[in-house]
Amino acid sequence: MKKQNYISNHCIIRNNKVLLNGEMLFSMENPLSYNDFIKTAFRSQQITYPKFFKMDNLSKLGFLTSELVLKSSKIKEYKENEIAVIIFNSSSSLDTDMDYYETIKDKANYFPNPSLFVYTLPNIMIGEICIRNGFKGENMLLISQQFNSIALTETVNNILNNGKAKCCIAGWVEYKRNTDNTFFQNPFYDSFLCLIEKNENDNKVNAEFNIENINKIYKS
Amino acid sequence: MDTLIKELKEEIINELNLEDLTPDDIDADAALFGDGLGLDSIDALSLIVILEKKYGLKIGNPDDGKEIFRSIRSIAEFIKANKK
Repeated sequence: MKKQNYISNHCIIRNNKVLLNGEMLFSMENPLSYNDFIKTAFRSQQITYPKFFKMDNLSKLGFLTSELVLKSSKIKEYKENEIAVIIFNSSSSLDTDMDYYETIKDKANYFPNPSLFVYTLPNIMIGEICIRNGFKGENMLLISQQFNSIALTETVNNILNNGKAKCCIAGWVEYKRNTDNTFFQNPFYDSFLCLIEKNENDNKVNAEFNIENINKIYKS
Repeated sequence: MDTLIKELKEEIINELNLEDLTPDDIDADAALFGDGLGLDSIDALSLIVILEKKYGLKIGNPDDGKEIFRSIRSIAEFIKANKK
């Protein structure tokens, strides 16, 4: 029999807006930059975590989305090794890779930046989420050309239905710098995370975790 | 020395992304690691890069690092004593 898993919460951050379970939680008109937006959004949620400001652009995005997805959840009811984190993206950590490269490309001015180097892997974003929450379950960062609801659903169902975890924070966190030679070099960022649990719950969302619902929420 | 301490505070806030702090929030004699400013091992590496990049200084003996990076003042004293 096919096992059914459920979406408890979902959060989307894109286009200077933060949506939690479909409701607008924060928006900002004409931020000076991505950093201006993400830091203002973070501060607006009264989250105390100074390390946020040290994170790279990708980790800031994934971290804030995860904080909001977990905010009203019952995540504390799970053991630390029962919680999985599965995130897909397309541009990996390329944004920080390019910043880091700037610190090493000139042999006459060769000062590798340690605080950039530590973010030159995309799964560091998952590490930040796990460190913050003490998660010790399965975690994976997978690269996909674009948001792929089939791969996402199959991967998460596989983890949950094989007893590797009882719940999973999963989705798509993409940060891509604009490399066009234009004056306004706005990056593209798109973050969508869900909390998926094995059991039905009394949460307001409580939607079946399937391709159709994931597509519907992602496109909302 | 006061000018150097202020400059170091600004440099550290900027390079280490200590966004919630201003130079006035940092006690020049407070511990940089542990209970003080709460810096971590990556920050320690960044401090080494600051010394090298901005002041042209290298720490010859790694055992000296703990004392040099004890506080902002100890870093300033190291710079003052070694900068040519």
